[in-house]
Amino acid sequence: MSTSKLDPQKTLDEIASLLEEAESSSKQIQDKKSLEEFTIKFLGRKSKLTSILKQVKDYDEEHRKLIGSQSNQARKKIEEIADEKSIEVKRKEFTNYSEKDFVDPTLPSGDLPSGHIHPVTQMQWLTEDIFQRMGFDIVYPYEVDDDYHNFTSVNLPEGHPARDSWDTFWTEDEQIAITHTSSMQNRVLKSFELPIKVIVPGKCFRNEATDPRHEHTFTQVEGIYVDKGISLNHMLGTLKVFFVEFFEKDIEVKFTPDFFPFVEPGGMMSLTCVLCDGKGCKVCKQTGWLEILGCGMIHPKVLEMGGIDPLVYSGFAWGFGLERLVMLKYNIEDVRYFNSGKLDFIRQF
Amino acid sequence: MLISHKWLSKYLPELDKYSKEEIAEGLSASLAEVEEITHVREELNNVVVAEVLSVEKHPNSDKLSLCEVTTNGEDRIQIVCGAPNVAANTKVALCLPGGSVYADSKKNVIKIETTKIRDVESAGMLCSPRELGIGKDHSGILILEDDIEIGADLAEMLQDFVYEVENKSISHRGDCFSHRGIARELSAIFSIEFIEDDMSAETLTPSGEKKELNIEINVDEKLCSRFSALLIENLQVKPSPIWMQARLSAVGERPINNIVDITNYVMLDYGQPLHAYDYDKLAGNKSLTVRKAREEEVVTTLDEMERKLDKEMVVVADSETVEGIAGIMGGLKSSVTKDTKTLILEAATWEMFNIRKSSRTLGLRSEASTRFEKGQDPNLTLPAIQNAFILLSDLGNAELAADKFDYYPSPREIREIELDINHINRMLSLSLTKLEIIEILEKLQIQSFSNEPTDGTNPNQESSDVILVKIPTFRPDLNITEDLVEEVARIYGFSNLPPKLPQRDLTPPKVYEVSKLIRQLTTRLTALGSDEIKSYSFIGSQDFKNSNLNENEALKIKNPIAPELSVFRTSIVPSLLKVAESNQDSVERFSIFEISRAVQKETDQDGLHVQPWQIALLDNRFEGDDAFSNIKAMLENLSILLNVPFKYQQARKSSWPTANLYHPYKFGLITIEDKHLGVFGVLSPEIASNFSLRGDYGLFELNLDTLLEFTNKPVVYKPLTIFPEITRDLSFWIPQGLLFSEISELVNSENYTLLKNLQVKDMYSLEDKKSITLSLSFQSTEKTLTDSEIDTIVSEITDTLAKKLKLELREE
Repeated sequence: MSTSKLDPQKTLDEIASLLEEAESSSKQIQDKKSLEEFTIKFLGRKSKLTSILKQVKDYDEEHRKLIGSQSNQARKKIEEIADEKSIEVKRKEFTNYSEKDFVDPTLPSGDLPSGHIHPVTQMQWLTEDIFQRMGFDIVYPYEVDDDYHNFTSVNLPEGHPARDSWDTFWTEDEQIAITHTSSMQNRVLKSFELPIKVIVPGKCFRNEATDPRHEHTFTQVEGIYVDKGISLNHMLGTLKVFFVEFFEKDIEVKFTPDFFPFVEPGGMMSLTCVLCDGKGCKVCKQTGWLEILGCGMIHPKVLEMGGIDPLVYSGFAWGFGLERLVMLKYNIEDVRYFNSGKLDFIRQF
Repeated sequence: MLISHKWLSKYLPELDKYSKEEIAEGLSASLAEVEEITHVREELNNVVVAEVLSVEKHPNSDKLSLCEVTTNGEDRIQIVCGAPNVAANTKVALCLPGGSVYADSKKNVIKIETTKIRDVESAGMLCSPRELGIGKDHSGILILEDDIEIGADLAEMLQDFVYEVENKSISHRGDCFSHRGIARELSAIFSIEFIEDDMSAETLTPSGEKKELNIEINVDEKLCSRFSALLIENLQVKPSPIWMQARLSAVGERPINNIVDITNYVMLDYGQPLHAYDYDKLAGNKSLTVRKAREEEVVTTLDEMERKLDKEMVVVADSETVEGIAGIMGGLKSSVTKDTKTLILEAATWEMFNIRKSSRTLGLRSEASTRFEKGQDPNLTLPAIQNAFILLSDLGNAELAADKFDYYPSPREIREIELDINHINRMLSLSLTKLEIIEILEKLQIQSFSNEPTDGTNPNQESSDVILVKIPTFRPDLNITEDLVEEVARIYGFSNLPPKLPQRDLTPPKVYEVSKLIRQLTTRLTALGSDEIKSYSFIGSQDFKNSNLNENEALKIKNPIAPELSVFRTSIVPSLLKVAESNQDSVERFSIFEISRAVQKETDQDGLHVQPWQIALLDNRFEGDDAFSNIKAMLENLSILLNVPFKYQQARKSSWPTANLYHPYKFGLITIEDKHLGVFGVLSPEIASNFSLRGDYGLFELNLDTLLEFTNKPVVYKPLTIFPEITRDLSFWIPQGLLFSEISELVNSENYTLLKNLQVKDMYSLEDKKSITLSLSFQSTEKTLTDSEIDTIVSEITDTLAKKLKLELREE
């Protein structure tokens, strides 16, 4: 056992100066290597502080506690300095950037190109979504249907002069490339439970020469609503609400008489022109109105053929073309683009 | 259809209370759209009736005349005139200095001033019909009727407003193809008085010596329900009075002579077409017969065209030739000329369907056929010819030469409909009283009868809500209650019906599975870089040939627009190939798809053609083997999206109809649970060249009807395990031609519970040898697997593969 005198005051001074030295030499730490040297020098097994800590037990009781706590505090402080420096050093190491790494953020990549959804499809989905929210079911039509479903069952019996208004494509077996999606009306009336609320979006055909305003192939949305006590006003309300949602604008509707054999009363519905908000423009021919769809109260004969008693139930039906709405929305000048497959066209939507 | 405002005013004395715009709006809102209002002869100004007093040769010209005219009988006005027909003692149209007339038939306007013509002063101009905007005639000045008052304001007389009524929407309203019909509608719309002249009081008794008027009806009563005719003699063919020329020319009818003009005028007035036969030109005993045409019988019509008839057409013939195609157009031989002295005036009612068909077959439409096609009231024939006769006798001393002929075996009678006023109110969400409804219908000349006392003396009696309405014979379109609902609504005013929403229960609509699937596929494929296109459902024979498809399985269009649009497509692929061809010059790399029904010639038990929903995708973004693997990657992606396990099979030949479109060695089938879902692969170079396509194309097709049977399967969750997964890689030499699916199916069929996954890590060919490295991963839900446990399974698998598929484990 050493008898050499331990001078507590000297040790306390030593601790203080060690701390001071550590603080000042920490400023020299530049890299991993100097950090390691610093750690070894002040915190290592052979460091002065370690040897002081080892000797604490040799002091008399009076000083043991003081020196112990002082040296531990010093160690903690130096450790903190080392930690701080270590973050600094690490940051320095990984932020050693160079101009050579420069990347042009404006350069196009094109590695994950997105395709485009056809504008008519987008509009059809919007239409389906609004009507579904309003409680309508959806049914799609066939492309080819028989005379009964396309004509007879919607009160257009054979020989009816109004049939001529539909320029019809006939197939070799006397069936029809459907002229309207009313081709599903009889099936809907027969197969859905009352009250009936159904829309029928789908492809239709008219045998006519094409030009920027006319297409032999187009998309129609037929709608059918049958319940007890349904009035013409309900039709106006339902369609008004739909178009307000569709155009996200406050829109008024106007009904003017027209003749369609499948409805009575029947007419055309016009909307406030969505381009000029009813002020009058080129598209609405200065009238402030756009004639957009044919509609009316379902003819009692049509209800009867669908197995529904017209004395108990009434209903309304309508049909409008989607391409017209897309053309209005985007100011498209030629209806033939829709079926052209032109990618320059599709990729704009 | 053009409707003259002045003409309407004759029947509607109060019409001028409304502006032209209000009238147009009223018609548009309650009958049919007025597309345009035209101010006819707006520019005519300061044109009056003058009398020519003297005509002399112009001192300095051989062609010009020097005239003196008067507009008041006293003052003489000197006018230089170049017209060959200028003559003293005639009434003419004089444009005074400061006035304006038309310079040509394009409605360019000239101002007239006092000028010197070859040194002689001319204080105005005598006008030709063209200068007055009446027609194209500029061969001489217009000679007015003798009894017209001099000084009368011709500009005012000739001006008019014309409403262009869209007539498609009144194709069920034959009665509205006339001025009287439109006037009747306006009287109801505006609640104003409608005054119609009554012809029934006129007696039609022949005055002089009677002639023979023999007409025989040899067709079914259905085809000719009425035939009325008058024999009129002592005719003097000359121009019509200016007021009639003004009316006719305002609505686009060219004035010709008094007889032709009167038949046109009466038709535009009543809607009842008339026809006049020159009696002296008829053969033999001058009798007419209504009969069916003989097959291939020929007639030269008024327009000097030779028409070939068929046995379905009804004609009016004399003993030798056809003199008119019933309801469509008269024959040239017996047509009215300036020498006509005696004529038979016909007003008949022809069956609308027959007229429509004949008119279509002949490709010949006329003002008459347009009206007969809509259906005309047979009760109009007599008033119409009576009116025509009165006009003729007023204008030209005409006299009746025989008793009138009137064939009308089954007179059309007023029909009665029972009308429940509650039904009307229900359909319109209104609460109109019985009286209000009766009033509305009365405005339309629909009379109502009710058994209820109208004075309200018996309040305790249950009042009947049913009224009996009498439908006039000119309204054959009104047959059922709903027809009257429309009548009430349009006169009440559609704009007075407030929009409201139906009350409905809270049952949510169903998800429409086709729509849902189409949306899933569309959004995913576009996210994978493919563009959605739409194309025609019709293709041509050449497209079938070019894509090696069997056209016999396709449904043909009987009346196609063009040969390239004459057959329903049985597959979307030919359309995609054409779209690719049209894009390849402007877009370098693309992927396109379409979702649509395809149509088969085959029919189902209901006689409906089989029309499956299909998707087809065509992609040229990758070359060589990548073209194939890209398509496969897309399919795998869709399989995960839909949670439907697609199975892929090799097939060099397949019953799939478009199999011939694919490269025979780069082609696979897609199945689900042994059902054939689709095909995929690389487009055959031969087909590519048929469509002039450059580069490699990957392609797939799926039948969505089949796919729909398997969608919406619930996800089966497996609990996560904490025990590690251990992977072993094994390399084998494998026989040429062996499919990966044979290996995976064999391994899977052994049901190793600990085998979690089997994947291909690497694959390459070395001359005639082919190597595959399989990566097998193992995991237990109960414990950490030991090496020896895994070794056992691996060697079992290796043995099985070696034995059954001749896989040779490669030494490392």
